[in-house]
Amino acid sequence: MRFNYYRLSVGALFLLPILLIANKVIFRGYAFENIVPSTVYEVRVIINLQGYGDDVFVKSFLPLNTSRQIVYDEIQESLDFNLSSQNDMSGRLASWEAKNLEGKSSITYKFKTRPEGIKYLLPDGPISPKNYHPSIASFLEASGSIQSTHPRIMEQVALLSENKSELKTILRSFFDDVNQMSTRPFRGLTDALTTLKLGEASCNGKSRLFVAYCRNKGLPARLVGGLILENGFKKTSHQWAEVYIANHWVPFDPLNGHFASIPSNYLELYKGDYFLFSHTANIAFEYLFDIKKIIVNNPNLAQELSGSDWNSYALWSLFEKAGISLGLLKVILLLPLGAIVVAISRNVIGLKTFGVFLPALIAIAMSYTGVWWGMMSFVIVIMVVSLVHFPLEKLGILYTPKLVIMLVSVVITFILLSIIGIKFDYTDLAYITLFPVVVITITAERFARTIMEEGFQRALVITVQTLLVVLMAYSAMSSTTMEGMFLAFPELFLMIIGTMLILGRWMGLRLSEYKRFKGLIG
Amino acid sequence: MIKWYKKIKSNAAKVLGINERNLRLVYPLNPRQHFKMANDKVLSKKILQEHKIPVAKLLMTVDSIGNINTAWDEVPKQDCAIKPANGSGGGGILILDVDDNGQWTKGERLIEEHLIHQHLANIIFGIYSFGSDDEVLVEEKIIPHSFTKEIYPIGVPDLRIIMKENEILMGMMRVPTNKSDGKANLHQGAIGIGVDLSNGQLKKVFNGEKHLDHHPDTKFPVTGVQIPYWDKVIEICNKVARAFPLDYLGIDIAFDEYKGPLVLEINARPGLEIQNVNEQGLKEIIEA
Repeated sequence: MRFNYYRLSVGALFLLPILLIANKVIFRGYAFENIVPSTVYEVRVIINLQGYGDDVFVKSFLPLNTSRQIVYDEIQESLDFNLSSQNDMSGRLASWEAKNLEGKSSITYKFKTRPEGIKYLLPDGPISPKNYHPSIASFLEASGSIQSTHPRIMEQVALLSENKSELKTILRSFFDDVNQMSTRPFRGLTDALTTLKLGEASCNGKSRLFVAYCRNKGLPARLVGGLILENGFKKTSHQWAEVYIANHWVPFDPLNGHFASIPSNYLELYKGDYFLFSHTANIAFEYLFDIKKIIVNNPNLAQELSGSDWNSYALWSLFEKAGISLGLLKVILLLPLGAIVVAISRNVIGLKTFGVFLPALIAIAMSYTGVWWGMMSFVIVIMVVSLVHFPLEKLGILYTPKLVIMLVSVVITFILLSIIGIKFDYTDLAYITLFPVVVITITAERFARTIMEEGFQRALVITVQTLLVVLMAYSAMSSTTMEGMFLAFPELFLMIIGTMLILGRWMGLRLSEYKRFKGLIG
Repeated sequence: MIKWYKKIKSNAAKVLGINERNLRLVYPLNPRQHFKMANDKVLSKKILQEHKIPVAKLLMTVDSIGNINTAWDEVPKQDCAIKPANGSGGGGILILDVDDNGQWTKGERLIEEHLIHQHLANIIFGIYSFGSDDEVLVEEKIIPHSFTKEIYPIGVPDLRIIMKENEILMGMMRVPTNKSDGKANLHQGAIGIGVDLSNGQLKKVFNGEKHLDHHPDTKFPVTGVQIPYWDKVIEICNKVARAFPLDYLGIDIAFDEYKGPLVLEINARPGLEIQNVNEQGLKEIIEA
């Protein structure tokens, strides 16, 4: 009878959260793609310049929120410049102005963005001449660098669209013609005609030629300027094209072979045939993009979920009134996850750790200092405590006073390291003081005790295994997927209890025991 | 591949792991409230004596600092061992001898009375039991039996017997080595020797890595040596099993040259290494 009771509990602890989650997803509109983390790019535009005493301006396009890209956390930093911006047809034109700029100065503009990739399905049928609205019709006209009416271009368009009437096939033919040309990283502007004559160009030349073909054929087309987002530093921006088809501006990138599609790392900055930067001539000017790919939770998740009940954000809005931060709530919510990692490491893998929850607590500490300094702190504390332990042991000092002496030694060490770090301008070292010394001192004391009871080698083995479990707990607890899931579905806690009920009755050999008894098992 | 997997699986099914030991044996057979009877050496000695089970004679116990002087004065001048009641791994044990002049000595050197008092105080303060107050017990020193001295001359080897519900499951001798520094603790490098339960003869030596037929340091051939008083050992084990409300037990027995087998201590959570020593899984025996 008791067995059934156990099974019933485990079943309920798994079934209930599944039902609750299903309810939220199906009836309350929780969407997994909003809850699980996504790739976000953090972009820093760095402009370095030098003035010679005159009034100066720098103009550039800043990204806009569109249907396929969101831009947030925008921060601009500049000591000397005033920023103003205005939106128009081409985008958001920003203008930094400074009076009597003398000497070196800089502007940084930082933002996070999450663009999406889109693939368009082109309609079947021939190109039908249309009376476009004047704002669209202007994208049919030739310009100085898009010579769509030039005889050479007309000739090429005729050749490419020979015996073709379908919109799709003609666009494909234009696209392929430009796409197959060899790519040259030309600096500066290449116009459409030059591109055709040379049969090679960079992104802007190829895009201009493609736009020229389209315009010649009666299809409104324009250039788009932006940035290809990839980790690292870069100086090159990118240009591609858009063609107005069935009331949509459809993207084409003839340089990188994206036909009627745009990848998720294309950030759009402006529309039209412009330079990304323009500035007064009286300065030395240099720019750089610093792009970092980061995995984060949907920045709007808190807002989206705090309106509905039964999730941790609802709880948080309650806590917020008491001044408890979301960060603290996250730590508390994810602590059980760290504990699960410890339980599995001990009872299934058979890793030995100092204390049961100490590894999970150390993992939390690491989220403040980062993995590298967390590990360093751990090793330093172990060393300090070992050094202090042996003389105290010889003196026959009682347990609790001994612990306090160890703790004080650790605190002194950390403060000294921080001072050294600050003195030598090595601020990373100062972070070490953030490490919760009490947790780690207790761990270190266990280390020292193990040396006494089971020898140094054994203590070292347990230390390494503890660190291993710490790292596993850390990666589980710092997982943004887990964070999103637990914030949106706190009912997962029931599943943790269910899992532990199963683990609590699991009689199998631990992995380590297969090794320990390998003589018996073979 | 499948054959190999099946072999591993069927062999693994004979071995007792920590999870299963706790869930199937320790928790159901050893009620938590009775653990103290095994863990506290003073308490377990009292129970053993009440049931007329041979133990090293208790000379004195003391559990408060104020009584140290009077208590120590009661101890007869004879070779003895001072132990913490709740110590572990052999920590805090002090062996004292009496020399020809009737003076206390430690390892053939005179030891001053106040140092002994200090050691007693340290034990009571809890230095060897991690913070909690402890009790001292002083018992007569065990003179290792000549059969164990032949195998290795230093320290006190002992016999570990595992019992489940009045049935002896397995046994091993634990003998110190140069590495273990006189201690009969497998963790600290002592060797285990398998025991043939049908006749009390020693089987092979296990040093943690491989099986040998001799002691690794003295090279004394061990395999086939008869454990003395074997019938009495079995009788003692059965008595212990009846005396304690713990149905899964490790019983540690030392052999005194003059008094024969003496129960050293009782363990309510005996280790699993005995399976490696005997080259046999405990589950195979339990389920047979």
